[in-house]
Amino acid sequence: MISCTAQKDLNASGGGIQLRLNFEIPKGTLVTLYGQSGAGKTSTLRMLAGLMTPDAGIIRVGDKIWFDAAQKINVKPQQRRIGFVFQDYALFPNMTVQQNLEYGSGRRADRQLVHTLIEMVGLRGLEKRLPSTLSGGQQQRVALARALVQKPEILLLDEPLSALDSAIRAKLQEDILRVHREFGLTTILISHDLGEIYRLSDRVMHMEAGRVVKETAADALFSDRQISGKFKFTGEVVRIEAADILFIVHVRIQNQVVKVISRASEIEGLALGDTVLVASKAFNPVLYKLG
Amino acid sequence: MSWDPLLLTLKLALVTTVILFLLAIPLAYWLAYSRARLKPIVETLVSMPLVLPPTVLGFYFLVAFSPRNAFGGFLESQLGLELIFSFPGLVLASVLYSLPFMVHPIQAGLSSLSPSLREASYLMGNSRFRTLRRILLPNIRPALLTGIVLSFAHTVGEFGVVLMIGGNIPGRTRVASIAIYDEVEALNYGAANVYSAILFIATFLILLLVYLVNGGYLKRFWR
Amino acid sequence: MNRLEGHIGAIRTSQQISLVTTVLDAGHEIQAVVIETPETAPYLKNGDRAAVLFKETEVLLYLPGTTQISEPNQIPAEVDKLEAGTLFTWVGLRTPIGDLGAIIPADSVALLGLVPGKKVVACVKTTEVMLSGE
Repeated sequence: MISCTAQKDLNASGGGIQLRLNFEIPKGTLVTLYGQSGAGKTSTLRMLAGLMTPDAGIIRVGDKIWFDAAQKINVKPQQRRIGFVFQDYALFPNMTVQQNLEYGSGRRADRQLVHTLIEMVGLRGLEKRLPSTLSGGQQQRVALARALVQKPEILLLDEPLSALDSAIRAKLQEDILRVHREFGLTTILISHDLGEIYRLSDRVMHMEAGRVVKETAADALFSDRQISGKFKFTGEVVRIEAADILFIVHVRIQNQVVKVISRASEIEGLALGDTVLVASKAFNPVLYKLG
Repeated sequence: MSWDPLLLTLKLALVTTVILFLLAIPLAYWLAYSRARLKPIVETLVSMPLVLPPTVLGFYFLVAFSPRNAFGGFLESQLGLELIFSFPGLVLASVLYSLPFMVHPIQAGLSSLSPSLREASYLMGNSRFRTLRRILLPNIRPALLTGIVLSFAHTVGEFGVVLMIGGNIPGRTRVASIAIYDEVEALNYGAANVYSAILFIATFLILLLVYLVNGGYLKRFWR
Repeated sequence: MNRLEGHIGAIRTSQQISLVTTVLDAGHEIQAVVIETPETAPYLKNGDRAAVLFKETEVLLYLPGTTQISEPNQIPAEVDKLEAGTLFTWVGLRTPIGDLGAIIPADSVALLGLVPGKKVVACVKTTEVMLSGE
């Protein structure tokens, strides 16, 4: 359980914001911070990580107090054991992939863990490469693996996939979900991508002007918020083609493509790459046992 | 002519550069990352030698360290430190005079690194010192090289400060730039020309090296 | 997609499934079966605003006088426009509860003699109606 009540006045360009945080995150959940830029999402992560000091408040993780302004407790970032994936990945340019990971695992590098992590995120064969020679998706995987070298209990992800194209994103979302489960992490994600939020998170904390204004389930973000269809998937529009007086919209859901019949008026304003919710009643589908 | 002034210049530049390098890293680190209110003042002081006539610096040095004054007298009687018309005095003056040439490139290099590199290192459990040594310095090598070379070259070329506080003592404080002046005064143009040519070529080569290395032309050799 | 606004008028629940009657603002009732109960879905509350949604492909049309049909959602309508394709025809309908669309096989247009002004009944199965809370 992370419990955080923190205050901080920030002077940003274009007017400052006042962070007034008060939230709890149960152990083992994956929570997304959602909101406009400037709402204080990154600052929230930075305060949890100890990279920014609140003006007042208490941050408690489990039975440990990380920050307490009144008692002048402020555990250093070095001792908080947090896995942090930065938006720019922050890979050390002077070190190879393997060195990037080993640098984090202390004096006696835990080679077995480094090896497992490299294997897990599919970086095998790239251990000796410098970050600058890797693609964006590969760099992101190094950053994710590196964040786990310390065996953290908490993983903080600051818009980790925003710079990547959608096919690679889908693959990395699976990676994030897998490490979240396998390592039993409490994960906090910043994301603007509705599909990503829906796929990954248990809960969504909506932030506005430095406050968490509400907390909802992930699917509450979608249009017609509460729709009764039991067949609900978020996907990405990959193709739209005409058929008779109708249109067939191809939607990629994870790594499958489904086709949905639509009227011209329904797909107005729909473009390739858009995230959509595919919904249907539960009465139509039939089941076939496989194998 | 004698080789002494050239050797003395080399020795002065080397000693000065080494001291500056060790001094400038913590100073540049502080200037790059601190938000202290004192910072603009320190920044200004570090930059002063860029605009101040060297003779001003030399004059105040002379006043401060003269054995006839309280501070200079104290240094001489208590510590045996004689800073006027001596090599240690020259080194001290050169360190101050060339300070911006070492501090500025390193400070700029540190500031240009993404803050997330430092933070990532901290979050991985590494101390500030280890982060500086393993992450920050290795990633600003071009800036370090620039600082080293500029400080070295600038020390080789200084004249005013040296003349004011070092004087012109052969073998102790008569560096190449002073020697040139001296030879010209004595209408000894041949010797002046030899010193000048050597300094000219040496400085050219040193700076050329920086541009080649930092421009990536010699990447194979600097990794 | 047809979308009609109203409020929830009645809910009949059997274990996990509910039959929800929505009273439309225009005064007609539409029933929907959903795999939810008032406990699992906060929007299932008598009197709350709700919209019924059903796809145009799920609407079937028949001529008035055919009374014995297993589905309760029967809406008297008048053909307004026709948009003919090779396999399908889109039929625009004017009804007491607002405009609806139906996509039916093109051949059926001739079978039923559908022309603008013709009286028909539009029907949608309760299992094909979705509910949306506000």
